[in-house]
Amino acid sequence: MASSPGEPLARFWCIGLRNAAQAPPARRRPGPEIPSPRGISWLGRAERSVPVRAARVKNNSSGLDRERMDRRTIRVGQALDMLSSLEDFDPVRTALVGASFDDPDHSWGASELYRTVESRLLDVEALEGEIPRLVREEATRLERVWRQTAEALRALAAGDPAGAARALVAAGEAEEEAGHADAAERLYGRALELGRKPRDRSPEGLALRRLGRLAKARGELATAIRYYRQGYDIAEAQRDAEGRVIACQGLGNCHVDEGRWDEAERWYRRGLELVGERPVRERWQIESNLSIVTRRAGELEASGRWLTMARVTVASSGDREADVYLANAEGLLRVAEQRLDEAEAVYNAALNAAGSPAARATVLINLAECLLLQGRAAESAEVTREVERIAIAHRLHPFLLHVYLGLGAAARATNDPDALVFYEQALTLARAGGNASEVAHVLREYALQERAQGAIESAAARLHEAAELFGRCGSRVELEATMAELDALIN
Amino acid sequence: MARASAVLIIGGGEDAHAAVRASVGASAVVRWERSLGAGLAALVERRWGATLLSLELEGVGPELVGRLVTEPKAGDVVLMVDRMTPRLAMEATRLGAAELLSHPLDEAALAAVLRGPREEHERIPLPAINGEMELVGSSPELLEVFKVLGRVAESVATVLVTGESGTGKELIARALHRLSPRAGGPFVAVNCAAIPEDLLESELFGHERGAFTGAVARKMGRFERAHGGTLFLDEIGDMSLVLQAKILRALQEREVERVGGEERIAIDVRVVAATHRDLPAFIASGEYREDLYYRLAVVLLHLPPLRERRGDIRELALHYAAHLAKEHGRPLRHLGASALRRLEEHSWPGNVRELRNVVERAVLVAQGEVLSADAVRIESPRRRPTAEALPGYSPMLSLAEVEALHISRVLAAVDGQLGRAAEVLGVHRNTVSRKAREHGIVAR
Repeated sequence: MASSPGEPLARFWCIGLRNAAQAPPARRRPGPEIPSPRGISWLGRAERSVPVRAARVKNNSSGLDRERMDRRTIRVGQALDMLSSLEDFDPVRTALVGASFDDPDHSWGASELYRTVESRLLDVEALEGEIPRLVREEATRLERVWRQTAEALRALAAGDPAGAARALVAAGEAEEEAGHADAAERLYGRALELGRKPRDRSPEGLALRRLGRLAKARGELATAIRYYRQGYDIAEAQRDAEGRVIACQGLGNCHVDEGRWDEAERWYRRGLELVGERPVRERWQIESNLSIVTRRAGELEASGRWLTMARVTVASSGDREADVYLANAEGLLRVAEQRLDEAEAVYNAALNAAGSPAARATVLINLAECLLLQGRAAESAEVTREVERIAIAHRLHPFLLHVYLGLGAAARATNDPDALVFYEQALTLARAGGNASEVAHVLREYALQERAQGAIESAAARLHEAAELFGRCGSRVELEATMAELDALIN
Repeated sequence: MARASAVLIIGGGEDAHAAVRASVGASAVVRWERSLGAGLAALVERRWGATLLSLELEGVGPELVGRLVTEPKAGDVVLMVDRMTPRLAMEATRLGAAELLSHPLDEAALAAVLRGPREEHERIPLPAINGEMELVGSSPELLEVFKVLGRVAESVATVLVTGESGTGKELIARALHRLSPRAGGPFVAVNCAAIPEDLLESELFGHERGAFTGAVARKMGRFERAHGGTLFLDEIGDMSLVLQAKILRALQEREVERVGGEERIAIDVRVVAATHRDLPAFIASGEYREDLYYRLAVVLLHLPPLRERRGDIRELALHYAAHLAKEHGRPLRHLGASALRRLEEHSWPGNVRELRNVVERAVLVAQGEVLSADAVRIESPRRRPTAEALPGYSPMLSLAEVEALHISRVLAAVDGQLGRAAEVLGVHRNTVSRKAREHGIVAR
C-alpha cells in the first residue's frame, strides 16, 4: 500500500512500518516509521454530494446548558466540509481533529459504537489555542523553503547548478514533509532540470528518487518505477553506491505494490549486493523487505530465513530501533503461517518495545487483525479504537483510514449492517488522500460488507470501480483478486 | 494465581533474596541456590509456588527456560536479568515466563507476581447459561416493563421505548419481535444517530442507481428489508425534520419510495422506535414533529435507569459474567462477593451497557475461577477533557511535562505501587517503571 511503502500488505488494513529509506529526509531514521502525519492526509477533502446537517447536540439538561452546547459545538465533518474549498488550510484541518472530542451526548448510547472522526465535536476554543503553534510551524516551513531557494540562487550565481539543484531538493523536502505534494513535485522538477546540466549528476539522481517517492505515495506506480529506474541509472553512472541502494529499495517497493514478487526480489537482492557485508541500517532494511516479499509470494520458510538474517544484522550493528520493526514483521509472518497465538504474543511483546506512537499504532493495527482472525471481533475493535486515540492525539491521521477499515471488518464479522458507517468514513478519507490504490482497497472491503448484507448489485459496482483503479495503478495481484471476487459475485 | 508459599531462587544476588523475602512474608519458604546445578536439584525436591531464575547464570538459555516453564514443580517462573532489553522482554513472554525483572528487583512488580490476587473467600456461583443474552432483572420497575411488553407484543401497534442510554432498549425491541406473530420474519435494526444524515435516507428507503453521487447501484432500504417483520429505529430523536416527515409518511401510508425512484413500494412492517431524548421537549422547541411522535408512541414503554433498580445489579452481573466467560473461553465459575460489592456501589451512568462492559473487561483479566474485585475496573464518568478538569495542569505545559506530572500524581495516589499505577494508566508495569526513571520520579 502506498501509504506504508516499506511493507507490502497481506491484507489491506494489515499495515507495516515505513521503510526508512523512503521517508522524507527529516524522518530518515532506521526505526519504525509511518506515513508522514502531515503527508498523505485527508486535507484536500472530497466533497459530499449532500450537505451535512448542522450538528445537533442536545441533552436532557437545562435550557441554558443546551444553549451553551449549541453555541459551542460543531462536528468535525462539518468543519472539514466548510474548509474543503479553501486552500492553505491544511494545518488547520489537521489541527481541528486534534482539538475535537467525542460527543458526550452519545456516551453509552448504541451509536457510540459507530463513532468516527467526523462525528466528533470540535472544540473551537482549543483550536484557537493551537493557532500560535500552527503559525510557528508554518513560519518554520516557509523559512526553510525560502532559505533553500536563496541558497539555490546563490549557487546558480556562483556557477554551481548542482548546488542549486540540491538546495531545491531540500526545499522540496520541506514541502513534502508538510504534506504539500504538489509544491514538492514542482521543486523537485526544477531541481531535475538544473541537475541535468552539470557534470555532477548526483542531484539529478536525487531529484528523480524524490519524484519516485512522491509518485509512489500517490499510487502512480508506473511513473514511480520510471523515476526510480532513471535515478538508478544515473547513480550507477556516477558511481553513487548509496543512491543505487535507495533506488533499488524504491524499485523493490513499487514492484511489491504491483504484486511482481520476482521483480521486487531481484531489485532488493541487487541492493543487498551493493550494500555488501557491512552490518549497516540499509542491510537489515533490505533483508526485512526480502522477508516481506517472500512471505507475500507464499515462501514462508525463505521469509523466516531473511528475517533471521535481518535480526543478525541488527544484532551486529547494535541498531536497537529496529526491534519493533522486525517484531512487527515477525508477527505478520506468524499470521501468514496461521500461528495466530504466537503472532499475538509477538505483537504484545513488540508493544512493550514500541517507543513512538506511530510504532505502537502500527503494531496495534496488526494485533487487531490477528484478534479478528481468531474470531475475537470485540477485542479487535477495542484495540483498533486505541489506534484511533493515538492517531488523533499524535496527529497521525494516515492511520485513521486503517482504523475505520479495521472497525468495519470487526463489525462485518458480527454481521452488523451499520458497519457501512466505517466504510463510508474510510472511503471519504481515502478519496481525500488522493491515492487511487487506497481508494480501491477501501472499495473492495466495502464490497465485502455489502455482499454480506445481500446488496449484490452495489457490491459488484464497487468491485468494478476497484478493479479499474487497481488496473490504473498497475497493482496486478490486487486486480486479479478483485476480478476473481467480481466473477464469483456475479456468477 | 495464589500467594506463593514456597519460592526457589536460582542465581541472582542478595538483593533478589531480600526482595523475595520482603514480598512473600516470613511464613513462606524461600530457598536461594547460587548455582544452576544446585537450583535444578532443589527443583525436584518439592513443588514450588514460584521459581526465580537468573539469566546471567552460565548454562541458562531459551531451551532451559522453555523446559522450566513447563515443569509443574517450578510454579510461576520469573526471570531475572542484569540489563533489560525489548528483545529479552519479548523472548520471556514468548517462552511463557510469568515476569522478567531487572536488577535491582522492583519489589512492587515482584510482589504482584508472587502474591497474586487476593484469595476470595465469599463467592457466588455463576448461573447456568441457557439461551442468548436477554433482558435480565426482577426489580418491581422492570417487572412492570415486562408486563406491558407481554400485553403489546402480539399487536401490530408501533412502540416507542424511552430510557437513558444503555438501559437496553434494543433488547426490548428484540423481545417484542420474538414474542410477536412476526417472529419468523426479519428483525432489522437501524441506528439513526450512527449513520450520517446524508446516508440515512437511502439506508431507510433505499435508492435507485445514480440517484446521487455514490449511488453506484440500486439498493434496497431497511424498510423494505424488514417486510413481514419488525423494523427497529434506534435513537429516533436524532433526525432532521425533513427525514421525520418522510418517516411519518411511510408509517401513515405503509409505502416507501426509493431515493431517486418513482415507484411506490408497499411495506408490511411493525415499527419499534427508541430514544434517550426528551421528545416532548423537542416538540415544544419545534425540533420534533408532534404528529410523528404520536404515531410512534402508540404504546410508550419506559425503561428505568439502573440506579433506580439497583436490585437488578447482582442478577445482571452474574448473568453477564456467565455468558461472557463462556464467550471468551474463560474458566470462571464464581463471582467474588467483594467484586459484587464494588459493582453495587457504582452509580452506573452508562446503565446496563456500562455494567456489561465492566464485567466483560473483568472477565478478560480475571485469573482462576473467581472473578475478584481486583479485576473490576470502573472508569470515572466520561467527560469532555478540559484544562479546568485537570487542576494544576497548565495548558502551556509540554506533553513530556504533562506526562511526568500525571505519572507522579498517579503514583502518589496509589501509594507508589507500580502495578496499580500501571492499571490506572492503562499501560504495562514496565512502561511505568521506565517512564518514572526517565522523568526522575521516585517510585516505591
